[in-house]
Amino acid sequence: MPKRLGLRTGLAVFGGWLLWLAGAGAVLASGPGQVQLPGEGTLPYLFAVYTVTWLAFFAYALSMSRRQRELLREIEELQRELEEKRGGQQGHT
Amino acid sequence: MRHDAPAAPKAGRQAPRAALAASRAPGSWGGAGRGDAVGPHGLILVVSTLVTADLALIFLWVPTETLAMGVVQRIFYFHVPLAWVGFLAFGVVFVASILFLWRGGRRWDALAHASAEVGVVFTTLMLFSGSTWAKPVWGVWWTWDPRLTTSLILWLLYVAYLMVRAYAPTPAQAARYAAVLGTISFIDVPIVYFSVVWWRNIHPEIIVGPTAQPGSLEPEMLVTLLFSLLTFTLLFAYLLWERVRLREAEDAVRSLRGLERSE
Repeated sequence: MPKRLGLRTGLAVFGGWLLWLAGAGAVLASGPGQVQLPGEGTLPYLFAVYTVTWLAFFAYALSMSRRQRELLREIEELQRELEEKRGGQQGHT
Repeated sequence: MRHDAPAAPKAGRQAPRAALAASRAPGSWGGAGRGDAVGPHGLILVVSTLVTADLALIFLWVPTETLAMGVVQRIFYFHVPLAWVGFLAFGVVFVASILFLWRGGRRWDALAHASAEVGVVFTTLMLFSGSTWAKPVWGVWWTWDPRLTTSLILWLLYVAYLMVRAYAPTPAQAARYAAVLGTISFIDVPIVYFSVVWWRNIHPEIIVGPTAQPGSLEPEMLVTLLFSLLTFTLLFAYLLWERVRLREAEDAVRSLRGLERSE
């Protein structure tokens, strides 16, 4: 399996696991059997914060990873072009 | 003073390889020899484990606050660490900017740039989480409380910092202007921290740090908060490391393009 696919799959699985844990935990923390608390009905706010926070971090990490790959590919292309140019110049002389 | 922020094209036959190696060289922030995009595996593993443990503490272990807020109080275990890491990131920008202005060096500029960007991500999420907490507790998404206002100003200052970097005419000017802005903008960090003391309003009081009231948190809540602080600090370290490597690769591309044009 290519390394980049491994990283993406790993991040996606870990992200899914985090969301599941946050959701299940939030439901458990406010579910039946709990004492009637102030702030009832605020679970969506809690879940929104955890979901958005983790999605934002994963999106940021993935975007950096993708940009890094693009830059490394560009560096290699530029390097090859330069070497070809220099090879051509040597051929002329 | 030296201002050698942009990677100057190097003359000679070895230049392309030198530029390529710039993002991987042992002397650079990016570390030695890792050309892949995975990053430091050990740190990823530690951060992943800590994040999982942190969520378990937040949702399964720490008791729910029963006096006023209920379950939504758990946002606090994200909101406070996000704010703390934002301050830390801008502190790194401050120190790196001063070192860049004083001693020069591309690595200080790269560190300041990377830390500012990661800090803006954390501060954006801090503002979002605070606003989402405020709606059910205060009844509004936003109010011009001094803490909120100074936090928004802080966010705007560092967004401006990133815009200066993006729109400056040359990389050298971008580095110099940004270093000045990064130094001055840090003044707002202590103002944000002490704003709840200086201008008492509706934002909750300081619960961590030198001015916090002792015993203002239950022991389980304090442990969970400290664990979250550790987790988010390590997450910041990982993201900063990745962003610095990315910046070094960007410098290498710029250097190679300059070299190609000159030939």
